[in-house]
Amino acid sequence: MRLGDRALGALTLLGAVGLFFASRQFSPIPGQKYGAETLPLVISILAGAVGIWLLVQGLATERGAALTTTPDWAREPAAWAKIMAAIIVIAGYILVSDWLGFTISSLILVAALMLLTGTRLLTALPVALATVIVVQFAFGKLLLVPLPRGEFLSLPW
Amino acid sequence: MSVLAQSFAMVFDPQVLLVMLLSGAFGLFVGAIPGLTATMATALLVPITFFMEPIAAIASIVTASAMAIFSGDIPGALLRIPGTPASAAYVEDSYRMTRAGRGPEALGALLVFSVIGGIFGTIVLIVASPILAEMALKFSSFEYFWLVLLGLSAAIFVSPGSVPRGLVALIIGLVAASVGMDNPTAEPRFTFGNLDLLGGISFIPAMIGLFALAEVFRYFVHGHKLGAPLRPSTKGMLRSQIGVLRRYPKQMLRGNITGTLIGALPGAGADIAAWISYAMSKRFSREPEKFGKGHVEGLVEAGASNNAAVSGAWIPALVFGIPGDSITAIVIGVLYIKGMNPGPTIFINQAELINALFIVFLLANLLMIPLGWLAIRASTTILAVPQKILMPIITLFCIVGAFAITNSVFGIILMLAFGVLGFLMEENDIPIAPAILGLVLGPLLEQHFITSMIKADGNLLSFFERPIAAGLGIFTILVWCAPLIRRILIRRKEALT
Repeated sequence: MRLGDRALGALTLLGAVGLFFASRQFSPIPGQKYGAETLPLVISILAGAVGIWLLVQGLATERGAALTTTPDWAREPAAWAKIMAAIIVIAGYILVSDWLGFTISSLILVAALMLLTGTRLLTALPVALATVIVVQFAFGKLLLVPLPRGEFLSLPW
Repeated sequence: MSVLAQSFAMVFDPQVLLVMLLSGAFGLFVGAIPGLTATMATALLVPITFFMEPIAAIASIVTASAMAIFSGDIPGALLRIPGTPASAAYVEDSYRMTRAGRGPEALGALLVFSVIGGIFGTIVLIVASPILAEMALKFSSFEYFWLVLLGLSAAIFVSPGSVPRGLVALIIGLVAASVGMDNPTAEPRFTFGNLDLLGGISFIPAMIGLFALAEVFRYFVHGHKLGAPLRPSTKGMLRSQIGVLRRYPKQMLRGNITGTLIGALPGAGADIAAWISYAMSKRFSREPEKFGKGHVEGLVEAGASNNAAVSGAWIPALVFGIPGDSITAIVIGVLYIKGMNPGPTIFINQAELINALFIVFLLANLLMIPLGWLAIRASTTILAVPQKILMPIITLFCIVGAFAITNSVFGIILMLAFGVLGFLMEENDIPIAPAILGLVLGPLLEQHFITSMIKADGNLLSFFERPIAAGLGIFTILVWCAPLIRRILIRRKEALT
C-alpha cells in the first residue's frame, strides 16, 4: 500500500500532535529554559509543518485520486506470506538464540530462509552449515564477538 | 644523518613495513564486515601495539583505520550494507551502479578518491596543522550547533524525490534519536519502561535494518523481478578513474577541502563531512536529477571527503592532544604510552618521530591502492552467488553485525524493527538516507543546543554573537532560503522580460 501525499500528510500531522503532547511530560533543566522536552517539541513543530506541506501538495495534485494505491506485489498473497514468514523466522531467532545457541539457531534461520527463497533442501542444508561455520569462526573466534553459546547444549545430557 | 633521513629509516624498516601490510589486511577485513567499524579495528589493535616500537605501533593503527574506513564502502556498493554512517551518504548511488553493471566504476571511484582524500588530508596535516588546529579551537558549542544544523539541512538535498517525503524520513530519524536517557538532562524519553531502550537507539543496527534487511524483504516480495546485480570485473577498474578524475576535478578538490576542514574540528568527523560533501555535490551538480540513482559524481566528492576527514582528525590530536574522532581518541592513548606526548612541542622535540608519522600516513594511503584492489577483487566473488542463496546469508551477516554492537539480542530486535520500517519507507517513496542523518546528528544537535543555552542563560541571540557562529548561522539560513530567493528572482526576471 502506497500512501499518497494527503494520507502521508495526515499521518505526519497526527504524529506531530502525538509527539507535541508526549513532549509535555518532560521538563526543562532546573533553572533553565530548555531541557529534555526541547528536541521532541522542535521535531513535533517540524513534523506539523511537513504534514501541512504534504496535505496542501496532495490537495493540489491528487484531486480525485485515491488516498492510497496498492502496488502489484501486494495483490499476491504469496508475496505477503513470504515476507511475513521471513519476519517470523528472524523473530524466532531472536526468541530462541539464547537458549539454542548461535550455531543451531542460525543454521535453522539460514536453511529456513533459503527454503523460502526457493532453494532446494539438498543445497540449502550444506550451504547453511558452511555459512554458519565460517561466520562462527570469523566473528566468534577471530573477532571475539560473544555469540550466544546456548543453554541447550549445556544441559546434562 | 638529517632528521628526515632518520624518519625515512624508521619507516622503511622491514618490521614496520610488515606491520603495515598485516594491519592493512586486518583493517580491510574488519571494515568490510557489517557491524564492525574502523574504531573497533583500532581498538582491537591496541593491546598488540604494546609490544611494538613507537613507529610500528602508530603505523599499524594509521594503516588499519584508513583501510577500514575505505572497506566500509565495499559491502555498501555490493550488498547495500554501508559499513559506516559516512558511507551511508552515498550507498544508494554505489549500490545502484553495481546493480546496473557499473560496479567497477563505483568501487574504483571509492578506492581512488579515498586514496586521494587521504593523501590530501595528510598534506594539509603536514603543512598547516598549527593554523587549522588554532581555528578548530575557536569552535565552541555555538559553532558546532550551526555545523550540525547545516549537516541536517543536507537531508533536503540528498533526498532523490519529493522534498517533504525526505523531511518525513528526517523526522523519523530524529524521533529515533530522541529515544533513551542519553540527553543533556538524562531524563528517560520514549523508553516505555524498557531497560534496553534507556541506552537509546544505536545507529549501526538501525542502519543495517534500514538498508540491508529492507533490501532482503524487497527481494522476498519482488523476487526475481529485481534481477541479480552483475558481478563487477576489476579489469580496468583503476584506469577508468582517470576519466572520472578529468570529468570531476572540482568535485574532488571540494570534497578534499571540506573533508579536511570538517575532520579537523574535534567531534565533527567523517560522518558530517561525507553528508555535507554529498549534499554540496548534488547542489552544485549539472545533473542533480541523477543523484541517488547510480551517479558517480557524489561518490567522488563524498568518498574523498570521508577519507580526508580521517586525516584531518589528526590535526587537533597532534597539535593539542584533543581527539577529532573516536579513532584519534584511542590513538592519543597509544601516543602517550609510546612516549610521544601530543602537543605543540611534539613538532620540535620529536621531529623525527612526527616526520615518520607523516611518511606512514602517505605510505598507508598509497598501500590502500593494491590492498583495496585485492579486497574488491576478493569481495566481488560474493556476487557470483545466486540471489536466492545470497539473501539468507546476508540476513545472517546482518544479525551478527547488529548483535556485535550491543552484544545482546536487543541489537537484532532494533535491526528487525528498522528493517520493516525501511521496507515500508521505500514502498512509500520515503528515502532512507535522511533518516540515518537524523539518527546520527540528532543527539549532537541537542547536545550543542542545550550546552549553548546553559552557557548563554537561554539567550537565543547568542548563536549570532560570535563571529564564526554568526557566519555559519547566516550561511545555514541562506541555504534554507535559497530555493525561495531563487524563485523570487526568477519571477522578477520573468516580470521584467
